[in-house]
Amino acid sequence: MLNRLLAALAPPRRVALAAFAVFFVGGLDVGELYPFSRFSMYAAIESREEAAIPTFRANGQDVSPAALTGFFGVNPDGLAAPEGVVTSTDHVLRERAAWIRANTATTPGPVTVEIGWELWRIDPQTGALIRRALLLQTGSARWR
Amino acid sequence: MALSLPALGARPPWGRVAFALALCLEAVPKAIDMPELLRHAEGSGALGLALALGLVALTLRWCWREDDRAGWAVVVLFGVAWIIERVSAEGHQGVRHGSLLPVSALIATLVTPRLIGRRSAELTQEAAWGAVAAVYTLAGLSKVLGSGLGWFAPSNLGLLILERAADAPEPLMGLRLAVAGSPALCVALAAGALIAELGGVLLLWPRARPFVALALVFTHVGIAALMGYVYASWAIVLITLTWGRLARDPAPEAPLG
Repeated sequence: MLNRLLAALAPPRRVALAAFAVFFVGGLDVGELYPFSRFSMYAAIESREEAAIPTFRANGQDVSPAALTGFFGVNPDGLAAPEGVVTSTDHVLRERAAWIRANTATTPGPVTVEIGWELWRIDPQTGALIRRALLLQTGSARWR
Repeated sequence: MALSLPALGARPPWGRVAFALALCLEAVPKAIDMPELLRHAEGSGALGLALALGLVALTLRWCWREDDRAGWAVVVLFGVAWIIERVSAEGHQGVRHGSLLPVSALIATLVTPRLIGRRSAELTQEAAWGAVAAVYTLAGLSKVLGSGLGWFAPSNLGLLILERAADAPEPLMGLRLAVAGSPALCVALAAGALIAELGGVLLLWPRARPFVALALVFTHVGIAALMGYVYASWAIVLITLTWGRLARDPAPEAPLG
């Protein structure tokens, strides 16, 4: 039956099969080497109960770190998720750390900066969003 | 004195133009990302802009002039961008692989005439299909190998979506919270995405292509809405290959010059 179904779909051309073989085997065997890839974004999961969202607040308001410069008292290497917190937003951390590292100051600024995490889960019974906050670091900066 | 424009040749088919658009869409972020990737190093903005402009110019030349050398230059420049991204975003696999599907298809179209010794619009397009089918099948297989049955756990997709609800614009935030709060919907969406990606292998069969391509385009729409990752170039390539032509029709069978 499968054969009849595949026959009805018109058979693949050899050139398509050859290209498929090159990129499929290349991706599997070579892995992440241009132009090959396994395209494995979020393929490997880790068991967890909460979504972990990195937070960045200036004077109590959620802002992008790029809105600020002259960071003082903030350690760009200390932004990672605390022990036991799993997140899929590592790229956000890396981008924030790079920005802070490139825009530090030697004196305090007028804006209070709070960096941390919000842990979100949805109550399976009520469907309500339950949030709790983890504060990692405080420091200062100035608006750009 | 009359001004003369450089000869552009015959207008390319819309499929080739759309394919070039997909490549250009992947080129533009290189200009935006480069200063961040190179840690705001001096001159990185200019480097990114030059890279993006070079990619767009060479893509247009490949498109309008059918210049294979320009096509190979596009492949090389995307490779340069890939190296910079890999070196700069160490350990951060996957997020920056958006250009690889159109580039893989482009490589397949450039290699095929050399291998078969003649230009054939049909066979060139078939080769592109083979590359695209491999990309989607690999994406699905990676999930099977990386997660197994855990991929279908409601908390898997639900928490990924929830993490992307926090900074989403208002209508999308509500949508993401609603989907993340529905375990059944999360399971169904995870299963649907996996089936669509593994079904990418069916793109090798010509008559299956419209159905599989549509399923994958809808998957991309869902990923964009729920995760915020806009793989427009991938969707454009699917639509282009399904309903358009990368070379002029009727297919030229001229020997390579």
